[in-house]
This record gives sequence, C-alpha cells and structure tokens, in this order.
Amino acid sequence: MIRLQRWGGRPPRDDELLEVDPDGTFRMRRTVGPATQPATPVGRFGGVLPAASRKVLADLEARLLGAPAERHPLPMDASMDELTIDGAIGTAAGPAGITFGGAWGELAEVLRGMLVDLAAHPVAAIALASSDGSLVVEHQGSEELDLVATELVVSFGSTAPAARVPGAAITAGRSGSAFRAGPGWAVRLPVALPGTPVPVIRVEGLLVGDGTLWRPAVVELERPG
Amino acid sequence: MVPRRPTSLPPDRGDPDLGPGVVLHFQQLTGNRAVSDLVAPAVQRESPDGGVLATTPAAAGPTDGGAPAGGVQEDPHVQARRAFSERTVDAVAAVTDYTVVSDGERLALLELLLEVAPMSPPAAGAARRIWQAFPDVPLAASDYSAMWERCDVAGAGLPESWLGAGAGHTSFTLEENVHGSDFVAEVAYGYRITRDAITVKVGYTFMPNAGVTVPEAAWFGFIRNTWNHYTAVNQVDRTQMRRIEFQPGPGADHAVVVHAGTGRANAGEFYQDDVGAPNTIPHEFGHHIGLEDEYERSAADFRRVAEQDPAAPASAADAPDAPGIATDIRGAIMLEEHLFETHGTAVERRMGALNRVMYQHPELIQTAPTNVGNAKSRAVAAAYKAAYGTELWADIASQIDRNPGESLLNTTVGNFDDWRETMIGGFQVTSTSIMGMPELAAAGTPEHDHPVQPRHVRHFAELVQGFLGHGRWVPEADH
Repeated sequence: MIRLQRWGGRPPRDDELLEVDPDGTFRMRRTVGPATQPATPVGRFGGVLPAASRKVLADLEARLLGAPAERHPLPMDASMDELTIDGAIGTAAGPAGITFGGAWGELAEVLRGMLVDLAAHPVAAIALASSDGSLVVEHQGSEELDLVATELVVSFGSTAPAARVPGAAITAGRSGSAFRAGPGWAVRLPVALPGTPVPVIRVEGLLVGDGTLWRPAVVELERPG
Repeated sequence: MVPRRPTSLPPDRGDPDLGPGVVLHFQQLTGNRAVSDLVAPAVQRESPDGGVLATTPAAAGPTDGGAPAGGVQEDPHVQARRAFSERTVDAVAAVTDYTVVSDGERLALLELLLEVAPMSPPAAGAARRIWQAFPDVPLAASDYSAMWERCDVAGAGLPESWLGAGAGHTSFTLEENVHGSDFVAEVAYGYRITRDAITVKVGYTFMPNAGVTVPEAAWFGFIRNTWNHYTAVNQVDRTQMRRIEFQPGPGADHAVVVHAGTGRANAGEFYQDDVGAPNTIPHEFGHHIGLEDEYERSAADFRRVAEQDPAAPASAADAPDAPGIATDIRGAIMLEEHLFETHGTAVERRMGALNRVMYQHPELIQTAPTNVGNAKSRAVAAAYKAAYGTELWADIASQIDRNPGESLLNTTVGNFDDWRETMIGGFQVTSTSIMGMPELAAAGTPEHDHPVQPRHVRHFAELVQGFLGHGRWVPEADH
C-alpha cells in the first residue's frame, strides 16, 4: 500500500490522507480544501485508479525498494507530507511543497496531484459553491457525512471583514449539535458577498466526522461568481 | 500609564546650526589663546547681523594636520577657528585634534565636509577623525544618527564596529519541538538604536513561482500595522524613550518561496492569495525575529512562552458534565494491558476507547474556527486534574505512548502522531496573540487591541537597555 499523509501546521491543521492498494483501490480524506474553481470538497473519497496511474505508482514503488528514507526539518507552522510504502520500505517526510530527492520526489509529485484530482470521486463530502450571487455549502457523494457547525467564519480575503454565521443556520438543530448531511443536502449561507470581486472565499468552523474522529474542516472557493 | 509617542524631541543634532551662534561660542571658548598663535594678517568676516564672526589667517595653514612651516605645532584651537572661517575641506582636515571643540562644533565641521559630496579621501579621513573625537562614539552615532547616515552615504567609510551595541545583526536558527516533530525557523534581522528609536530591519528575498506576483507592499504593510505599536520607555525617567520600529523590506535576511493561490503559510513559504495574510504574514514575521509559537502548548509551556496562566475553564454551571467526561476519558486511556497481548494492541484499544468518548463530545474541539481547546475542554482538563492529580494531555501521551503499528491502525485513524496531536491539542493551550491565534481574541482582551504583546518586543527594549547602560527600559504600547 502506498500512502500520503499531510498533517499538522498552524490551526486549522491539515489532516489529509491518501491510500492506494496494489489493486488500485484508493481511499482518501480531505479536511482542508484548497481554493479551486469548482471548489475542492472535504470529506471521504474513494474508487479505483485507472490502469495508467497504477502502473506509474507500481514503477515508482519498484524504484524505491531499498531507497533510504528522507526526513527534512519542518519550517515553523508547516504541515508535514509523509510518504509511506507498505509501511516497511521507508518514509520521506517534509513540509508540504518541499522537493524530495529522486524517486521520492517523483512519488510525492504524483501523490500530491492525486490529492487534488481524486477529490472528483467523493463518497461523502461537502464543498463550497456560489449560485446566483450567494454562497452554498453542498453535499457531494453517495453516503452521509457527520457534521458539526458551531459558528462558521466566512473570510473574503484581506480587504473585507469576515462574516460570522451561527451554526444553526445550516443545521436542523442547535449550533454545535451533530447532524448528518446526505445526498441532495445543500444550504445557502446567510452572508452577503462583497461588492468587489475577491480571489478566494474561505469557510472555517465545520467539524467533519467519520464515525471515529471529528476533524476541523476548511472549504474554499476560488473566484466565486 | 501608556505614554504617547514622543512628539517634541530636541532636534537631532545631526543637523547642526552653522550660524553665528556656534562660531561665536567657539570663539568664546578658544579665542584669546588662539589669537596669539596667528601669524598672518587676519581677515575679518561679518555676520549677517554685522557682528564679528571670526578671524581668519590670510594664508591657509597646512592641510595634513601637521605643523606649519617652521616646524612649530599649531594649536588645534587655532586650526579649528581657521576651519570655521575658511569653511573649506582643507581647513577642516587640517585640524589635528577635534577633541578641543564641542559636540555641536564637531557636527558643524562635519557639515562643512558634507558640502562636497562624495567626500574626497582627505575629507573622509577628517570625518572619521571627527567622529572618533566624540567622548563616546557609539552614543554620538546614536544621538546624531542622521549625521552618521549622511556621512556614510557621502563616502566617509565609517566602520560599523564604531556603533558598538548601538547596532548589530542577529542570525540564528530557532528550533522548537511540538509533539515529537522538530520545527525550525531562521531568525535574522539588523537593528540600529538612534536618538528616538530602535529600528529593526528585516530583509526579505521573495522567490515567486512562475506566474506569481508577490503582494510585497501589502504584506509589509500588514507587518508594520501589526508590530509597530510599542515604545521602549525608561521607567526611571519616563521622558526617555525609543520607538520600537520594525522595518520589513527587500534584503537578504530571509528567502521565502511564494506560491500561487492559497495554502498553509509557514516560515519559509507564503501564498499569493492567502485570505488570512493580515495575520499569517505578521505571525511568520514573529518567527523571523526570534519568537516561538504560542498554540497547542502544555499549561507549563504556555506559561513559559506566553508568560500568563491559561484562560479560565468553563464554570461548573456551564459545563456540569465535565467531571463525567473526565472520568470517561480516564477509563479509556487507562485500559490495562492484557496478559497475552502486545503493548501495541493495548495502545490500539485505548485509542479506540478514547475515540468513542471524544466522538460523543465534539463540543470539546469545536471552538470556531479551530481545534485549539475551549472553555469546556479546559473544564474537562481541570476536572481530570482535580480527580487524578495529573494533566490530562500528559496522561494521553504516556498511556498512548507509541505507534501501535501500521497493521493495527484503523485507516480512519491514520497517522499516529497526527491522531495523538489532535487528541492532545484539544486539551492544550493557545494564546490569542499574534503568535497564537489572534482570530480567537475576544473584544475587551488585551490581545484584541494589540495582537503583539509587550513580551514579544521586550528583547528590543533590552537592546536599548544594554546599549544605554542606565535606567530600566520596558516596552509599552503607544497607540
């Protein structure tokens, strides 16, 4: 099994995971969705990699047999990217964005790309979208996702003040109570978009649960329409 | 009492008055004795108000500072008088001893040298000798910093070593260990203590990825807006003060990669569209001047770094179930090892049990917008300590002390260190200062108005203290 984990950093911390089995089956978790258009969802993802991708990973795995592990010091506030192959061959850990050497570097580049691309295969996830000039948090995937919203903080960049939204605005119950979002769930956020265009909108304050752990989540949207 | 920024400092003596007053003063000091040494017919000049300013020999004296023709050493007072009357570089450079004149007169002589820029080698040499004539060169360079800068720019070649503790450059690697991971930041800055300020220059070389435009002006503005709110005030004589002024700008102290879009900034990487830039960039700046993080710290560590007690826990009325939750957590993490199981298996069972407890209580980690603990998690930690006498986070760390092994880990738990950091972090302490999470600062708290707190800039007040060597200098917010 090949695994990429990105974790830690100044709160809200990263807690991302991608695991790929030898047969190409993958499981992925995202808690911080980078700003893209459309938005990168957060939650659980899964599926089977295409044959070409499996071959790329298999080739890299073969090249990394016996390769020395790499470990880089982390800049303060950085999250760590940790690469693992079968848990026995070695790890190459470093801050997200660092360039690993040799085949470790190639593997990091492939897996970091997958961490974004495979978000197109949600199992139970939520994403930020814009519709008719307003912001919407919507469910994606086929399974339910546990959520908690106490207070959402909606940031519009450095030029406009953030908006604070009580969690109850998107839950069926009181703020802070756990609820489940399933297919078709979508909630319009009661916030006014700034009059001038902003490059990124960011929503913090959600907890995403998988039945075992609650993890703080951040969803972002690039150039909202 | 918070002082205002100094508004009526005496004029910087780097801009000396070259008018009749200075020269007359000089004449009063040296005139009678010097006149007797004059060998050439004097030429009188008139001041604008008609008074006699000085007497000047018709022929210029030696320009190398040596003895005049005949081998008799000329009195430096006479040489100085001649310099003021002739107002030439040669005459100023001919003075053999600048200690015979006052501070103001030395500045006046420097002003004469600066009339021709860049300085010639004799002028530069004279400027250096004039500076060396001050009783305390570093202090003079501080008091007359504007003049020092002008001489430097004009090519006087003033050695920085003459500034003593009034200037310096610091560079070292700051290290901290958080939950077993080592983090580093390169600390580098230069400072200069002047008459009214200590200026701290932090130089950045941004290395943008392809297509990235670095919002340098905005980022430097965030730093200045956040950090420039303090003045070092001498508690013994509160009229004495030095602004603590941070000046981020282009330079070689720090190399920072700038990525497109958004992402997690760290001490070495910024993001062009970072929506949290007004906080994140000043936070990273704090590392660059030597400060540690103030988030997810143990109570003891928090007291060391943030110099304060953790915020109060929720009251029993607000968190009546805190003791019960503490008991449940205790039961989970203290599960005993069975006779025929490995330590890893026991650790995994404890992890699972703790997960079940915590999943029932998301309110323990739901402080928006982060998982840095809240009043209720503090209440649980306090109840735990009251019941068992130990720190909750420390017991989690000791009872779940090592990775039970990849094969044992539930996929949803994933990385062991990550999991444990999440669990422990919820029961640790985060400040609401710029080095913690200023987004969490509540109205009415000191951090709400000043994300930078006095402890963050105290080192620079200490530099002032060390340089001046008197009084007791502490930083105070000035606006």
